[in-house]
Amino acid sequence: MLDPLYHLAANAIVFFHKGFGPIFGQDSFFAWAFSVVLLVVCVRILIFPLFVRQVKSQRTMQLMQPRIKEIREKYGHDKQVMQQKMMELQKEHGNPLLGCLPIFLQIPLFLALFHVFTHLSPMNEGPGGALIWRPRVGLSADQVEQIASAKVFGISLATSFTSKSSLLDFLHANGTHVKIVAVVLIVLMGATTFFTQRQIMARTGPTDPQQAMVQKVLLYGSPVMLAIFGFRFPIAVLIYWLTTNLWSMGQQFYVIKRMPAPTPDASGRLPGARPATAAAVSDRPAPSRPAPGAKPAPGARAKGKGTAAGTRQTSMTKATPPATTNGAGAKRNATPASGSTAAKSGSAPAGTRSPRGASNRAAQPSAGVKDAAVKDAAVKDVGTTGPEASPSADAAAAPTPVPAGVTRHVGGSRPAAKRKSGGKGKRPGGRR
Amino acid sequence: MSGPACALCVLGVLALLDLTLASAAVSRWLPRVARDRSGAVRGPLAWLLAALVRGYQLVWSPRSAGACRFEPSCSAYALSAVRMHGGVRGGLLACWRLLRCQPLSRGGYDPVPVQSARGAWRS
Repeated sequence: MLDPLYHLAANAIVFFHKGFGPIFGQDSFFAWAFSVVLLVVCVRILIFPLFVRQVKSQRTMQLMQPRIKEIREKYGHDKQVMQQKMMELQKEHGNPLLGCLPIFLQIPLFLALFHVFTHLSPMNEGPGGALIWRPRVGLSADQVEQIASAKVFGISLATSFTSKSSLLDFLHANGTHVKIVAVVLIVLMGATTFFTQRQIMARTGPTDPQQAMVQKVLLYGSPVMLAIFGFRFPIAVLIYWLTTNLWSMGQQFYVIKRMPAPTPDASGRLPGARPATAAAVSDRPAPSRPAPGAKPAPGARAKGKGTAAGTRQTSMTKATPPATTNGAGAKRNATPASGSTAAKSGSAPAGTRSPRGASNRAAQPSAGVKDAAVKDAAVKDVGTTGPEASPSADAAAAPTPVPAGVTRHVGGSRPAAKRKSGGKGKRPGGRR
Repeated sequence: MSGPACALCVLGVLALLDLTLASAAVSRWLPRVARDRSGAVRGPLAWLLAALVRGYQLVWSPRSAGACRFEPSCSAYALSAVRMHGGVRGGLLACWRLLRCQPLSRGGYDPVPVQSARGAWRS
């Protein structure tokens, strides 16, 4: 069924080899290995836009989650009203989500790569079960032979840790060297899997501790599992896995660096970040974010001392709504810089809505954001809140640049802090 | 009998068993047999599918979180569909939902349809 994809992938390897061949030598192992790597990288680049959009929608989702819970509590009994409310909420945020199907559409790509890399070897169809070169995955027998018998130190792409001596002899490969390289690659693979998994866990932590526990087991278990499987797969597959792992690790770093909203611990918590961001409002897309990121940090640190990563993540997810509150708060306080009473009245309803219940209070900050977002009528998600907030804030602060920045900063970060303390059990309503 | 045919037979038997257990009659007359205390269908197929979805939620869902256009996300929907309607019908419902969850769809609130006479289990 996936034959066209197999053929495409296999011929892509041959195509890339046309480029690498002259550099490393026509029958060099590295020429083919780099072709494999380049193919994998190309596939990952192909689906990179999907990844970016997904991260964006993930952030929107994190924002919407408290609201969804609220709606569910309020209108859970009435399906019609709930449907309507959900549609309103999604319209308010825009629906940038691609849906679940694109995730499943990626699966054939990876299956095809895996299939091709496992099938670049001779088949035992010769007389008496002897190994013989056959056309496979859309390549001629000659091409398969070229790929599989390209060696360096007796290591070929087709050999694996557990490959039989007949195959090794047929390819004139060195079993010991293959084993050593396979182990090195497997260890690297396990390590990269582990780090990627940890990054992902840090980015989107689970809320309930039991799940955090299971995820912890997975965090250590999945590299081990992969390693166990890895002994059976040829070097080509190991190279493929290592490349994808490295690529997704890079993606995670990219997300943490360039779109840092969901991870306050990566960019917040730096005390020096506060004045810097207050001054450099114009160029950075998310100017007001690190301040609240630094605010929840003490709490997060205090909790983090007690237990492991799980609690740290919960505090992280909790820390995101205040961050956005601040973003909207900055806008609220900044746009009517001439008439500040409007800003006060604008934020007052958010305060009056608070005495409702513990769970609702946790959901409160982002609800405040939604109110602000409705008023501002143009804000769709955080990604847009940041860039939109900054120019308006800058324009408002133009006459008195530095003091305005400072006041906006204090005013912006304050509700977050107050609400956080309110959430811990102090007076819920007494905000101002 | 060859391997694939055997597998097909086993799958068919499992599906039949599952459908029986999930049917309204059985859950009316033998409620303790058909469903466990939380109201999930006891069928082996349902169990298998639920385990698969759980596995996805644990392993892969953190990577692809926030992609779904619907309110109970596809995996949550699949889980409760399998629990409510058994492996066959729940699985089909989940497949249909996955097909609907793409950029052309409207999204929104879309719970698992409840067709039970008792309506005792909601999750």
